[in-house]
Amino acid sequence: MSAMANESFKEEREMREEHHSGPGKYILVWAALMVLTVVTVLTGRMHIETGALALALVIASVKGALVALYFMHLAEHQGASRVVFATSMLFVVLLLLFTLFDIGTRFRPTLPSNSTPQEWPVETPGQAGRYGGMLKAPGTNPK
Amino acid sequence: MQSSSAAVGVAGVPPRPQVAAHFASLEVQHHAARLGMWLFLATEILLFAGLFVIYANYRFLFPEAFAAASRELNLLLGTINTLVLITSSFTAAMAVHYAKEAQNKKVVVMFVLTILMALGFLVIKYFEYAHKFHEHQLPGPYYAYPGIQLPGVSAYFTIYFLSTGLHAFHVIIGMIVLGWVTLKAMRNTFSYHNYTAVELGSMYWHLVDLVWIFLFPMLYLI
Repeated sequence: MSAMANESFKEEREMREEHHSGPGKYILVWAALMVLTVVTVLTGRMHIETGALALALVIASVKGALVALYFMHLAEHQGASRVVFATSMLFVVLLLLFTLFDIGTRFRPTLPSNSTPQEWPVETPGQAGRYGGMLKAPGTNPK
Repeated sequence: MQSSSAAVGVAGVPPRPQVAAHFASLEVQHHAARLGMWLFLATEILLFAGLFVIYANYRFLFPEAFAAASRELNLLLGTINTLVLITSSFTAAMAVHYAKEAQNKKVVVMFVLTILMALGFLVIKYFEYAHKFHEHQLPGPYYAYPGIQLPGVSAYFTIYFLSTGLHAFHVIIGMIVLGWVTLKAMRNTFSYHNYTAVELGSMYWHLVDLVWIFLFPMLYLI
């Protein structure tokens, strides 16, 4: 019990020292978030041909990271909280990517007939499966 | 347990909260509460992630319809709402700062500002929704806007109403939670030893902000 108490005193002292993120930092983060919002609106309205989505996502991710790190104190609190947050983010990305891989590489007739999927990341024209949708290469001896 | 200790400290120094028997110290108890909150927030993130996945796939399938439909949203109101929500997140962070310094009156001021901005967010959202209803830019079979007749455009409005509706629901819950913490701060509850409720309440509010930071470019800026 005394060892436990000692440990907790030590922890409390450490927390006192690391804990102080003052209003100055919050004001800086707030200003950065406001500026980034204006930037994302301006770049969003310019209708950039390539990379507009990537740019919007990067700006949103930077803003999200600022909120999580400084407003939600992930920068100060190490350990389990960070693992939980990072794991949830990892699974969001997995969920997004793998459903998109699925939709993006499907045989065209399995998608909604009136849809017009973008050619990125994979081109899926009609009958574009291996060997033009046939099971075997043309000229193969059909046994 | 916390409320009984809060009742004692109406005047003078804020009380130290009691430590539950299964925790070694107050700090450990505080850490456990914070970790529990993070686990809850992770489930919230994954709840919204489902909607993000639906959005990504339908946008991939119907790029023209999504681009055309997103231009029907009021970008000015959306931008103002983003700035309002970010500022409210800032005041919520300041409330945690003042709670650590046992300045309960400033905690109250910061949270009242936060709740007022949340209310402003909802009022602006109401005007946006009212306009959408007026134009019949509605989900699924209720979509009857003659201006855009592209396949997939009603799916955009389904996702728009689902995601912003779920977000607005979270705003309302956040206002209730912050209101409750404000009442506790009015009783001079919080100090360096006891600011768990302020911190966790404001973490919930930051999550609401975090979700909106991604929803805004997704829906308004295609």
